[in-house]
Amino acid sequence: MAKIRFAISSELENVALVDNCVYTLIHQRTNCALIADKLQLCVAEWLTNVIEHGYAMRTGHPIELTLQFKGELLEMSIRDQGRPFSLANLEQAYVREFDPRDIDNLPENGWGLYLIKSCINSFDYRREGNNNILFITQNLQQSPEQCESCRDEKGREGENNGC
Amino acid sequence: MDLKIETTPAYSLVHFSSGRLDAANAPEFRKQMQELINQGNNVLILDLASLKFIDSSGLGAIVATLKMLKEEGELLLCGANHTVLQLFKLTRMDRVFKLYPDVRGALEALK
Repeated sequence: MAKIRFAISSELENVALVDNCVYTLIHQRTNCALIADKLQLCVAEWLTNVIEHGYAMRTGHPIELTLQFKGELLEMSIRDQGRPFSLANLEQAYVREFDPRDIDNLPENGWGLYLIKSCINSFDYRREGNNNILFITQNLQQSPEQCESCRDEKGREGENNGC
Repeated sequence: MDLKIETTPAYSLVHFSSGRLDAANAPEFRKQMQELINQGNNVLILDLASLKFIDSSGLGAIVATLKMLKEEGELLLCGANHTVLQLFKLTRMDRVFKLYPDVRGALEALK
């Protein structure tokens, strides 16, 4: 299947344009809201990171996402020209422990990399010339257990998730 | 940020209209919640039924609202769909918030 390419400039308002399309494409392909949700979240978190930290909120800079289905595999890459991230930060991202009763000290941020990591099967991140590229590979085939766990939950349109 | 707010003597009920709470509109949401709390409304019900998508910045804004309310206030969330609930579970914030299936459930919990 041909590659699908999205190009936006570095404004937070543009993130939804891309992640909504990613959701729609993956949901159409898999009929699974769970996996489409996860990949939409992954894309939204990464694009936001790039804009907020890579480009330090400077507008007008390029971000490009390409997406290609290969059978049950999805290959996706997100390219930018901002300040690069450390691959180690992404590899080591974890959800911080906190006391749910200690309201004053609840975390308000810092989940982004952990969410990206927890939503996808595998990733790589590297610099090529002036470009930073996040490569994502995702198996779109859900295991029977995963399907079972979300079968009765309501998806975003109030319908079952199509499993 | 397009919010519809119904205020009664006992609580304020906040409905999302935009369908999305993310990094682009979370600062505006925080500001509106701060204004609501500053006006003396310290029991808030957030009706998430219209929210189709939330990212970690949106979640951070909801956590910030809880902190603004301090101990004398109360924050109840209701109507979250699977997409929204998933984020609460992944970040373990489902251990912090009172999540109800709908507005009626949240109102009954207040009684």
